[in-house]
Amino acid sequence: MSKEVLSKEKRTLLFGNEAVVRACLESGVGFSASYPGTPASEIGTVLAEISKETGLYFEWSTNEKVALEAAAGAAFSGVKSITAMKHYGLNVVSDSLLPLTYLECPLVVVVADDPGCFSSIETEQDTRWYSKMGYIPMLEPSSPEETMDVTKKAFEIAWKYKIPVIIRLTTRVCYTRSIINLSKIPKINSIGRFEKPINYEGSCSHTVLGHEKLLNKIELLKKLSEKSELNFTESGTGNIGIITSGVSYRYVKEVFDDLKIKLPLLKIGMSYPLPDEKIKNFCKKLKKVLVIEEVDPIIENEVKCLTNNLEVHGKDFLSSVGEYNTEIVLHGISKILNKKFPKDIENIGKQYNNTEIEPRIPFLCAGCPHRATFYAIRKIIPDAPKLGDIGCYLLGSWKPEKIEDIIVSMGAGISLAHGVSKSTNKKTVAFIGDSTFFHAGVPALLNLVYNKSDILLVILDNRWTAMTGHQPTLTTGRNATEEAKIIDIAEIVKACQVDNYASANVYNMNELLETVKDLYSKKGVSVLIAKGECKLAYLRRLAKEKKNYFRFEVYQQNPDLKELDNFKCPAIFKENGKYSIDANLCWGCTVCKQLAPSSIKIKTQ
Amino acid sequence: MKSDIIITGYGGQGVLTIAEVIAKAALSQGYNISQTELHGLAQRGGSLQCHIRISDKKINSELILVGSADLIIALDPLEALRACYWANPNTTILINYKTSKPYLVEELSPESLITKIKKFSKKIEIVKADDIVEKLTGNIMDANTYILGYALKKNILILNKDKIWKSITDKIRPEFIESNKKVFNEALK
Ligand SMILES: Cc1ncc(C[n+]2csc(CCOP(=O)(O)OP(=O)(O)O)c2C)c(N)n1
Ligand code: SF4
Ligand code: SF4
Repeated sequence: MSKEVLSKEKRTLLFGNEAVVRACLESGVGFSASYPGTPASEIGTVLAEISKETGLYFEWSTNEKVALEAAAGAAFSGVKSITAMKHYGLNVVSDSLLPLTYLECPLVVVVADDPGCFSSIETEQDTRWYSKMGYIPMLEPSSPEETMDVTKKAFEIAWKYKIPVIIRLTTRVCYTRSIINLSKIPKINSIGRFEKPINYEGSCSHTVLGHEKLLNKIELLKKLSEKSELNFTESGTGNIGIITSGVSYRYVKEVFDDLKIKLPLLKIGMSYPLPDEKIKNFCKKLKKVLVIEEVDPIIENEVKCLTNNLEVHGKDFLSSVGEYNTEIVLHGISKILNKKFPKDIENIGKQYNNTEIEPRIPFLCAGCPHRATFYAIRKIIPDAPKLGDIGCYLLGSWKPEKIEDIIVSMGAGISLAHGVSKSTNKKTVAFIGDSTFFHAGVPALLNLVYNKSDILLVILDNRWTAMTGHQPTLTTGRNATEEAKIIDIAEIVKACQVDNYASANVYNMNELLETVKDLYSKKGVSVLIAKGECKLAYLRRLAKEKKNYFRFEVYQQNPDLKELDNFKCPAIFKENGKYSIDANLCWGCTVCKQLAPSSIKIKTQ
Repeated sequence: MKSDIIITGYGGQGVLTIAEVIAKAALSQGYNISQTELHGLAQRGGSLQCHIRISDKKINSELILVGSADLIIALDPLEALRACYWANPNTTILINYKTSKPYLVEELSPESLITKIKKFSKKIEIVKADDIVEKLTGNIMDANTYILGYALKKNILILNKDKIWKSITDKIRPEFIESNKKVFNEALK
């Protein structure tokens, strides 16, 4: 990935996420920190790849709040710094981000929203609300090209006005690749001098004064927003206008071309603070306006407040739910123009909707360590409430695993299970991945011990942050850029003064079953550290080392094969009562052979 | 020149790699390009669609409008049917005929899927890349290279074959170049 980001050409193909990194380099950023979260994950992945070569410091921090605080420390030390996260990360960091605006911290915060929830299972939230609550300026690019310019602009604003600035990306901007013009990368400055914010004192009255100062600053930023080229108009004919932001802008342009029309258009690229006067001026000559923005009606509500005698449409024509695309925008624009939706397109859509197409849902890889753990827990503890968490193992709440009852947010499973246990007098089960445990699990584990819970906590240690693209975690033996200590989860659990804990190798099914049985039989807090490296990460490493691995085959149809129905490996098929293994799909985890020893053996070739 | 292409398949099949190869070849031919894809959950075996728009004019939106793809390259018949959302009677649909059984998906024969696909467009090209490549090199990982070569030969992927080959070699590890070359040349025959 990094090759393009460091390109010395005049132009190259970059994803939105890569454009952020290139813009950091061109802006002389010296410090960056992140915690993975799709759709923003690759910003960190690329920063990790280029860090050594460019001198731009990067770390994968243990969670977003830690990353933000570290980046703020760098900014207070005069080093340009940035942090990037997915939208849920902003929920985690808000406790620190909001005071940093009072403290005049010049920081750039990239937040990626996921309209349509392509890689999000918690909420379809709109980050723009945070700007209003926290008085945080926000820039919103609509393409990778704009992301490049907007990121540079964000640093200018952050440093000129001494304030954190949010860049709001969305999935489509992050994961669209287009041709970007490049400039020279200056020498990176990663060492500065710490300076305490002027007249700082941590007092209540000081905070009230800080609030006032901040409001004054937002007034100045409003003036900037009025003048900013990020909020621009495009002329058009008629008295019906469009106000739009983010990727929707591009769909609007496509629809204009398709329908061969050109309506007056206002594109909002700085969505906080909004350019009130520009909006009023734009609306002055219009009779109707359609606001086209993904997710919540934030600009729409402002436009309604700023204007009177104007017919303002938005979410009455276009949904607050899901990702937009050209046809959705075409619907909205046809509606406000009182035009019929193009017939041929409508017919294709109808025919498609009438065709039955089976869904293909994601599942755990063949040989995944989580599958083995789920199998053992299901076997020994069939009916206790089981609370899940976020990671590849969230697929445990899907077909065919269906083992996790609820998943809320990172780290939530442990305390949910604690509450359920206290309220049902039943020993409950909670699952948490290694990366999620370090992110938000440790305080929850301490709470279990302190408040005498009765629960089996299963820590799924696969040595990677797998779901978001295999970033290293504290058990990998590497940090973002170099070798690092392997943090031993068992030592942490011990230090939390858990009475009953044990590690088990998930690929040794007998050991795993015995350990689960033993731990679940004990009253109080039990912790199982289920150890098995992410198979995908492991096999990729083998491939790089040009090593091979054993695959398995069914050589006899004996009754022990029946147990495989409970294991559900995607490489094993059953047809007319006969079992077989597709060698192309087998990842050699050995579990099937342990479950059906008289029928399965290593495949001979 | 304008070509709106959907590459589709399921996570793990190499949809994103094919898209990257095409986009980079188009870049080296001086076209404007927009390519969009998804990461995260979709990569764990779920269905995956990637939009590539190539044009000598400015490209507005990265997503292709319903019913307006010029070409759909599907690595699997079920995903080909799913991508018919972007098909019209003039869309060429190149389908990799996969017979291996998918996981968690009810048995649907490729034939019955293809019958359904024909209702959207009759311009269908079927290629049994997995079988051919298995015989040729024994490594079905090379199947996508065959599909690209085939699309070039049939003139449905309107890009320069040398640029595509260069783009493939930039992407794969050196030890696989030899077998991919064999597969690519066979497809172009
Ligand atoms: C606050 C927050 N940050 C980031 C994410 C994105 N995210 C989803 S899963 C995951 C990590 C999971 O890693 P781990 O717990 O080790 O499980 P694995 O995927 O390795 O099984 C992350 C960071 C999120 N959902 N919420
Ligand atoms: S990526 Fe790793 S942890 Fe995730 S499902 Fe695959 S094997 Fe399991
Ligand atoms: S077939 Fe057996 S050895 Fe291969 S991945 Fe599945 S369970 Fe593991």
